[in-house]
Amino acid sequence: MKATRLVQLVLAAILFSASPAVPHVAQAGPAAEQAKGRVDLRVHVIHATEAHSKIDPRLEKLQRYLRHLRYTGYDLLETKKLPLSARGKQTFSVAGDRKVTVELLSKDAKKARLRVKIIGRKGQKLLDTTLAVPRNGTFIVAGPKYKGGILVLPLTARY
Amino acid sequence: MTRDTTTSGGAQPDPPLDDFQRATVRAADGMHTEQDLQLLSNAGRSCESIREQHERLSHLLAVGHPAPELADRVMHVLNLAGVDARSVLLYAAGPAPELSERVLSALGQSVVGARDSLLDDAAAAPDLVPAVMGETGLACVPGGSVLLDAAGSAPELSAAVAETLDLRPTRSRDVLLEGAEPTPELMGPVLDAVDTSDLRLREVLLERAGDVPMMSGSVMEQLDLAAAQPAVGSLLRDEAGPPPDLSGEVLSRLGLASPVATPEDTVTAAPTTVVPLRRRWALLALPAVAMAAAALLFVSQAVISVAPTEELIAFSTDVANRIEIEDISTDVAAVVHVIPGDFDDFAAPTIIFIDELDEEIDSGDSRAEGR
Repeated sequence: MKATRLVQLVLAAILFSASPAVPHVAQAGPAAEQAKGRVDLRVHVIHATEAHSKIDPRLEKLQRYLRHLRYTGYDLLETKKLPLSARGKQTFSVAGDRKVTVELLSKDAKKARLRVKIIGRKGQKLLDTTLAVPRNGTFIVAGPKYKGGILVLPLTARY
Repeated sequence: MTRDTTTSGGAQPDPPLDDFQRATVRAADGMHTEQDLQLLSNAGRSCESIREQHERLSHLLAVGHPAPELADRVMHVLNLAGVDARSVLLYAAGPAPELSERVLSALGQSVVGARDSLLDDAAAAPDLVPAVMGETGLACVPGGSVLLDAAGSAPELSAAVAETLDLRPTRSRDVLLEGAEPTPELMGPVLDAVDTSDLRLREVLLERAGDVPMMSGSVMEQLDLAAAQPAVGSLLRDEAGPPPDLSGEVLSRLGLASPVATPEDTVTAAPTTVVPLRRRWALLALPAVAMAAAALLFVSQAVISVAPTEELIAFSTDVANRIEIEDISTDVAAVVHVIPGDFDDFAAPTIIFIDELDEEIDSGDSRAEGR
C-alpha cells in the first residue's frame, strides 16, 4: 500500500511540474531571479480621429498631451500587458494588422533600454528605434493610419 | 604677742604659724629677738643654724650654678621642702633628664609626673622596650597609638608586634587592606591572618576579579557563594561570558533546577488512515485537468489582452517622462518626428510620430491625411 501511494505522489509531482499553467511552481528559484530583472510594459492602443470629438474618459491624464496630434476624438481600443524579462522580446498585433515588437535590452534602477519596432501590413518596417525610458515612464508612438485617423500607442515601462 | 593656747591634756600648743614663721625669717636675716629665740628653741631650732642654712642656700641658688646635683646630701643639707626642690630642679635640669630610679626616688616624684614630663620632651618615636615600658609604667594603648602614627602605612602584622602593641586585630587589618594590592590573593593564610568577614572579602574579590571569574568548584567553595540566584545569576550574566557550561554538575552545584520535559511535549504519531481508492485517482486526475486547461490558454505567448478599464491606464504625471533616443530609423518613405513635449512640464511624454509619405490604405476606409 505504501509503495502504491508513493508512486501516485511521484506521478502527481511529475504532472504538476510539466504543466505549463503553473511554470512558477516548478521553477521557484529561477522565477524569482527572472522577476528581479523583469519590466512590465503596458501598451494602450488609442484611435485618434476627427470623426467625433469625444475623448474616452479613461484618457483624462493623457488628454492634454494628445493635443499635439490635433485630432478631436480619442477612443481607447485596448490595453496590453507585456512582461519583459531581461533581454526578452514580445511581439503583438494592433489594430490595422501592424505588428509591434518590443525588446528589453537592459535596465537599471533609473531607466530601461528598449528597442521598439513597428512592422506594417506589408511587412515593411515603419519604425525601428532604440531608446531609454525612465523607470515607470511613458513615451508615445503615433502615426500609423487607422480608419481615417491614426493609432496612438502610449508605452509605459513599469518596474 | 601672747595667746591663750591652752589645749586639752595640758600640752603646750604649737605656736601660731605666723609667729613661728616670723621668727624663722628674722633668724635667717639675723634679726631675731629674745622671744624669737625662745620660740625657736622650744621647736628645736636654733637661730644660728637657721641663719647658716639661709646663707648656704642663697649661695647655692645664686646664678652660676645651672645643674645642681640631686644628691640626698644636697637635699638634706639644703633642707629644702621636697616639692620646691623638685620644681626648681626640673625647671633647671634641661629637656631630657635621665629617668633613672635613683633620680626618680631622689626627687620623690610621682611616676605620672615624670612620664608626662618625659613625653612632653621626648623624641618622636620613643623606644618601646619592655624595660622602658616597665620603668615608666606607660599604658600600652598610648604607646601603640604613637607607634602606629609614626610607623608608616603598612606595618608588619607579626604576632610579636601585635602582642607588644596590644593592638586590636581590626585596626591592623584595616591598615593592611588599605595598603594591599588591588587583587588580594584568596589564600587560606591571608584569610586567616586578617580574619575579615567573608562577605567583605568576597565583595572585594568580585569587584576586582575581572570580567570572567573562574567558576571552579574551589573558587565557589572559598567564596562560599550562596546558591541564591541573584549572586550566581549576576555572575553568569554579567561576568561569566556567553556560553556557561550547563552540565549537570554545574547545575547541581549552583542549585539550579534542570529543565524537565513536560507531558505536553511528547509527540505521538497520528494514526494513519487509508485513502480510499476514489480519492487516489482524483489526485492523479487533477494535474491532467490542469494541463488541459493550460492547453486551452494562449500559453506560447504570455501577453494578456484585457478589456481596458480605468485602473489599467499606466501613465503617471509623477514621473519625468523624458526619453533618450539612441537611434531611430524607418524603411518606408516617412518622416519621423520626435515631439519632446512642453519643457516646463516634466511629466509630458515624448511623442514619436511616424508621418508616412506613401500612405498605407487600411482596410475598408478611405485615405486620410495624417500629420
